[in-house]
Amino acid sequence: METSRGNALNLSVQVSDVSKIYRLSYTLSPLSLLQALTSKQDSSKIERYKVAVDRVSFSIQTGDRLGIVGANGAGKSTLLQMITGVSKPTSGNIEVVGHVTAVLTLGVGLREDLSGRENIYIDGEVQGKSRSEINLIIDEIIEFAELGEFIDYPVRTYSTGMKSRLAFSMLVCIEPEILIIDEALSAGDSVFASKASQKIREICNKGKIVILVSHSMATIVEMCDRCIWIDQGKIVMDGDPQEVTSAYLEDVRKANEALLIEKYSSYMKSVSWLQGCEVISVEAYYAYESKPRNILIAKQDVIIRICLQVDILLDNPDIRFQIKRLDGMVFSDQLLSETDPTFINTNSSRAHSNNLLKGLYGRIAYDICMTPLVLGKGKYVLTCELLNQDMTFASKSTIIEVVTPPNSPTGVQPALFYPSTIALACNEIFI
Amino acid sequence: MKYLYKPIRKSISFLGLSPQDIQFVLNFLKLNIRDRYLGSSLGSLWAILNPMIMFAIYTFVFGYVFKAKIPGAETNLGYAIWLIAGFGPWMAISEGLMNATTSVVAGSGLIKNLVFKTELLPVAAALTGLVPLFVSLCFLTVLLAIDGNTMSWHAIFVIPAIILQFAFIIALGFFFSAINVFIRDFGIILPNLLIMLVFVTPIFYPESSTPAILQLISAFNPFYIICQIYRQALIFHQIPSILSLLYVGFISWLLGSIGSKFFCRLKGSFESML
Repeated sequence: METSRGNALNLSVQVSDVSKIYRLSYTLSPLSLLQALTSKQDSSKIERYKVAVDRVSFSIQTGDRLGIVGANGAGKSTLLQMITGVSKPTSGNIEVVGHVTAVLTLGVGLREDLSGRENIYIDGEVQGKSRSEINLIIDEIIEFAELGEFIDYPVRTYSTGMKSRLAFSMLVCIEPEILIIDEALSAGDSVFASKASQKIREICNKGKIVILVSHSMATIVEMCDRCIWIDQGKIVMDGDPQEVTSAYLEDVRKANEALLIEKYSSYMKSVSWLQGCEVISVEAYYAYESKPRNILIAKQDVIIRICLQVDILLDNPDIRFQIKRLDGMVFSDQLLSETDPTFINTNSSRAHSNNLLKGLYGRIAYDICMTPLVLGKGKYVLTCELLNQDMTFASKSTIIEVVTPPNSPTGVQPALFYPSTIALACNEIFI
Repeated sequence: MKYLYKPIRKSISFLGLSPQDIQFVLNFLKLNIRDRYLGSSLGSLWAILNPMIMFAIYTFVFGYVFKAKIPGAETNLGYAIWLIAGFGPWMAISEGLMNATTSVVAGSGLIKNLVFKTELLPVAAALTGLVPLFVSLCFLTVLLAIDGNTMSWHAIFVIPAIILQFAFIIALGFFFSAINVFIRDFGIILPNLLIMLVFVTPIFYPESSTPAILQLISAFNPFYIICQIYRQALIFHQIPSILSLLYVGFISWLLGSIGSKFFCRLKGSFESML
C-alpha cells in the first residue's frame, strides 16, 4: 500500500488491477504458517481458494463520492479493507494519497463491564489518542448519544439500541480526508436513525473523498455522485448512481425470479388434453411495462395476460382463471362467462354457443387487470384452464411472488389489501 | 506492493518508536491490564494484589514453615529473599510472554477494523510483565529492610536488567504472537512450557546444586542470566558481569530484529487468519 500525505487539494485513491484471493482452509496449521512465510502466493498451488476481488481497477479524485453496491459476498468489504489498509491485495497495487478514516464496523471494542464514558475513552485510546485529546471531544460524543444518566452505567445495562447509539456517537468527531464507510449505519430508533444519517451526511460533506458501501439504494443515489456495482469480485458497472443502482436492482430482481421459478418449477405446468387446444401463456405485467414478471410489488397496477390457441370448434367453451396461494387458499376462481356479459351462458341457446361465434378461436389474449394488485405478501399459483362442457381441455399455471414495497411497515401482513376486484377489462383477438 | 512506509517501519523495527507509537503502546498496555480484571470490584488493583499475595505466601512458607536455607543467606528470610529476587523477574518474563503470545489473536477485532502498527500489540502485551516485576521489587525492598540487608548502590544495575529483560521478552513476543495466529495450540501449551523452563532454570534452587550439564546450560540461559543479575544487584551487592549483560543484549537484538521481520512478514496474513 502506497500511502502518503498529499496536500489537501490533491487527494486520490488509485486501485490498479487489484486481486484478493482467500485461501479456504478449515484448520489453521503449521503448513499455513509456512505458506504465509514464503508469502509468494501462487493461486494455482492453493487447492481451495476464493477470489474475493478479481482484477479491479478504478481511481477516485478529490471531491468524488463513490458508492459501491453488490450482493453479499460480492467483494465490497474486502475491497474497502484493502483501500483502508487493513488487508493487503494478493496482487495489484493500491495507491492512496491522503489520510484514510474508515468506519468498517460499529462498536468493535465495546467493553460490557465499563460505563459508556469509559468506553469512549477506550475507543479513543485504541485509535492512539491521548487522554487530553479525548477530553476535547467527549462532551460532544456524550451529547450526541443522548444516553442521559446511562452514560455512567455499565454498557451491559444498555439496550441494544442504546449500545448502537453509543457506538455510532463515537464517530461524530472524525474529520476525514478520505472517508470509507461500510454500511450498517442504522442506529437506534427512528428519531436517532435520522439524526445519525444526517450526521453521516455532514461527515461526508467534510470528507474530501467518500467511499460508501450500502445496501440502501436511496442512500447511494442521494449521497454519491458515482457508483460501482461489484459482482463476484468484478466491476460490472461504473457510472451514474441512478443508472447503476437501477441496473443492479433489476439484476437482483431477475436473479430472485430465476430462483423462484427454479424452486417452484413443479407448479408451472402446461397441459393439453385435446389436440388443437392450448393455453400458451399466463403472465403477469406491471401496467406500465411490457416485460412479464414473476415478482410483483403489492399495490401496483398489474395486468395478468392469458394467451390461448384454439384451432378446433368447441360446443360450450369457457375459460377459468384461478389464483391460489401456495398454502392452498383460493383467492379467486372465476369463469369468463361469469365476468364478461358478452360471453353469454350457453345452456339456453346452443346455436350461439359455438366458440367461433364467441370469438374464442385462433390465438386469443385476455388481459385481467388488477388495479391495484391487492394480493398480500406471499407466493401464488395462477392457473388458466380452457373448458368445454365443464371439462378441462387445456391448462397452464405459473407462479408469482408478491412482495411488499420497500420501507413498508413490518409485522402482520394482510392476506389481501382490500377485497379483490378482478375485472376483465378488454379482450383482443388476433388471428 | 510497494511501501512508502518502509523506511519508517525499518527504523522502528525494534526500539526506535515514534511518539505516536509510544502513545499507542501505553494505551494498549493500560487496556491490557484493565481488561484482565474487568468486572471485579477491586479492578486493576488485582494486578498488584495477586503477585503480592503470592510473594507473601512464598515468604511465609519458606521463611517460617520450611525454613529452607541456601549457602550465602543463612537468616530466616534469606531463602525467601533469594527466591523472590529470582522469581519476581521470572514472573515478569512468564506473564509478559504469555500475554504477548495471545495478543494478536485477542486483538483480532482491532486488526480487522483499524489500521495501525500491529507489531505494537505484542510490545504492549509484553510490557504487562512490568507490573509483577515492580511488585516484587517493592516487596523485596521491604523484606531486605526487615532482614537488615538493605540495598546498596548496586541496585542501580536493576535498570539495565529491566531494559534487557523486556527487550528479550518483546523479541520472543514477536515470534510467539505471530506463530499463535497460525498454530493456536502454541498459546495453550505455552504455560506448561514455561513451567518446564522454570525448573530447567535455577530459580527455586541454587545453580551449585544442579548437575554439571545444567550448569553449563545455565551459563548460556538468558532467562537465568537475567534473574541472576537481579540477585547480584539486590542481594549480593555485586556488579553483574558486563559480558553477560552484553550477551543478553546481543541475543535480544538479534531475536528482536529477526522477530520483527518475521512478524511484519506474517502480519499481512493475519487478517485472513483471524
